[in-house]
Amino acid sequence: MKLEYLFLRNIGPFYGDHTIDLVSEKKSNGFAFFADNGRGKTTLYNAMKWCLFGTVKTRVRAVSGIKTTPRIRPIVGVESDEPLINNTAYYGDEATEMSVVLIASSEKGRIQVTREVSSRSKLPRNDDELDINTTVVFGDKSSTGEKAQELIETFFPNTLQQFFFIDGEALEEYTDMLENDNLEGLKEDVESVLRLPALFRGKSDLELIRMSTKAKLKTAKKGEKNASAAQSEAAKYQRKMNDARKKVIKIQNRITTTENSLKDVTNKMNQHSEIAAHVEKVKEVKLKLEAAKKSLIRSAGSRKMYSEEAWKILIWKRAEAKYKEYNGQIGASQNLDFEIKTCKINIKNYTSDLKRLDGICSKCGQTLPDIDAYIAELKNKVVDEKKKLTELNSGVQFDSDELTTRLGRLTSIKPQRGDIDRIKNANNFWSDDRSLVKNLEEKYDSLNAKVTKEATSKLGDLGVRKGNFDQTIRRLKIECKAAEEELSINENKFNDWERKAGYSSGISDEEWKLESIVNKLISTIDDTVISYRQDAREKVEEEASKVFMEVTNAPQAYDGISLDNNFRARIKLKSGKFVTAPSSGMKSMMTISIIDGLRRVSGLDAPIFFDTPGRSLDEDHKRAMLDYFWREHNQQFLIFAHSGEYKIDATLRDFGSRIVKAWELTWPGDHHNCIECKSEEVMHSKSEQIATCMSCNHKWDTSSAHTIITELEI
Amino acid sequence: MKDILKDNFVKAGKKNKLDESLLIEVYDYLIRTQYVLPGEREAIQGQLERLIKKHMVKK
Repeated sequence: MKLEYLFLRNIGPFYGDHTIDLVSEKKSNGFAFFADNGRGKTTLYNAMKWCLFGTVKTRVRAVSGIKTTPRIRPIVGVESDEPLINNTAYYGDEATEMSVVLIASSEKGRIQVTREVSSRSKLPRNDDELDINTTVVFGDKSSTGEKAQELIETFFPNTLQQFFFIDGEALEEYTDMLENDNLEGLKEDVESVLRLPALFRGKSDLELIRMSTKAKLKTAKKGEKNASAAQSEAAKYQRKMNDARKKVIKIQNRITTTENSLKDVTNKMNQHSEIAAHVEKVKEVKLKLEAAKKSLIRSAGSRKMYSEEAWKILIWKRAEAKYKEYNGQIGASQNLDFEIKTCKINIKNYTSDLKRLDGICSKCGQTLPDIDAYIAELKNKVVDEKKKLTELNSGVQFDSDELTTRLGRLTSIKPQRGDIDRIKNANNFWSDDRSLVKNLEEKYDSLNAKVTKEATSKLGDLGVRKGNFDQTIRRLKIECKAAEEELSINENKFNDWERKAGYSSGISDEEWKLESIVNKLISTIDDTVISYRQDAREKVEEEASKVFMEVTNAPQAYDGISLDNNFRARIKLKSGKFVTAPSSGMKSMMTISIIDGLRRVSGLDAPIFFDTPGRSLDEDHKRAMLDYFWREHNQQFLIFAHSGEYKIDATLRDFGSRIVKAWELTWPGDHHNCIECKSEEVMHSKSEQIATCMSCNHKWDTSSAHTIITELEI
Repeated sequence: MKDILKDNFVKAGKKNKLDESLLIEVYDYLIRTQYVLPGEREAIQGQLERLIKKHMVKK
């Protein structure tokens, strides 16, 4: 992994945009940033940490003899909070912006990490008012947010940052931990750098897989029981299915045989088609004849019924005149009777009056006047009435009662209206039916004569057989359909049970194998952790000892570094004993050696950023350290050194060939020569705090605290 | 430098009668995913299971 570019905007003393180009053709690996206090060497170091991990912590400081706990530095805030953003950008710029871009390349590919901050308001009071975005471009893919952070982890693991972001302060802490019994933090860090968490997490993953597999197996075992029952059921339905299938086949065969027989019969019948036509005709005529005979019986019955009244019609031909005569006489006779009766009553009354007449009024007893005339009148009346009666009696043939009796007798034989038509029609129907029957009988006899009895009988047999076959086929088809339905039901049930039986056993077999392999992998991880801890300790001890022997100023006295199982470190003397009271420089070198040993054993592929590397080292150790780390380790080694730790001129002189690039971080006021043309002819105005180059006329503000990054000539 | 963690893993796995190709595949996958935190490893577990099953089929 090689860092190629670093781009800064408005972070710490870096106001505006700054680009640091680390690309070079040189094969050496040393990079150096030199600066006085406040010029931004630690800001550079922190800018990279912030870009990669999103947070920067405050340094541990001793306040009244007590170490303060590190806290996360805000991006904006008051000065005491040590905000990361550049002061001028925060208070002066219209838009609050801060960003860091880091570009690096490795065997995996090129990665560009961008973390930028912008404000939704001017002068945001805290980080909640900021928009912070992280973008990672790796190859052709661009990721943001959590995905971007995951990608960064694969190049620069956050948990291992202490092994590539090293600072003098942390080094002192490590030294304390390596010497003391308070090893928890160290042990965790060591395990991290040795990649043991990869196995621990893998073990947890495998345990979860095993748990899931066990659950499946439990279900599968239950399934096995069910499968056994299912197999038995499947066998039962298989038998039923086979029986049903046989039955269907048997019926289908019978249908085929019957259909063939039917075909034969039909063929035979077709061979007798001529006779068959006659036979059919005979049958038809016979049926018609039977129907006609029935009709003749009915019409004969009607004819007979109506014929029974026919005599009335015949008699009426003669009686009708008498009937009309009597009917005409009865009115006159009734009038004559009335007149005769009236005459008789009158005669009786007149005669009675004559007998009773004595000449005295019966009411008043007076003698009636003119009585004789009255008697004579009565006697005349009687004579007249008797004469009239004689005349009337002489005109009487029948009296009205006699006529009524005679009319009654004639009425009983009088035909009803339509009787003649009905008799005629009945006779016509009968006559037609009789003709039809006669014709059909003749036709039947004629046809019957053409068809022999044998042929008729044979055809009749064939017809009967055909009918039987038709009926049998219909019945067999119904039976076949029922048998097919039974077969289908049994097939479905068989398939259901067979699937239940097969499914359970299939699962368990695969899961048993999976569980077995997972168990073996878990055991493998456990065994590896035990063996690797020992091997890794020995290897780290070996590598750290090599480094230590390189960087120590008394290699003849020491044998290397000894690490116990908890990575507690001691410096081993040639005599086999351990150094009891090492100097602070010796302890720092021991710690650096162990960190480097751990890095090498872990295979961690990241540049090493070392802030204030010479903090606890004497001159000899400082030189020895650079001498060792700035060798070709195929790993960039960047130091961020105070001008007092490492003198620029001496460092460049002594390690020039090992340094790829070096920079000096300054404020404008630090420059005595022209920033632009390097001319020494510069005029400084202390009152105006302006410096002016007499050669190129460039002017700059000497009071500004905005850092200038100047690449040094090596 | 030799990866002694890998060496130890393969050696221990072989003692457990596991196939070397499976061990290497599992190891590389665990190292590649070592920085994915617990609680976010569901997909990794699924992939690990598939990897083992794939090996079972191969055998």
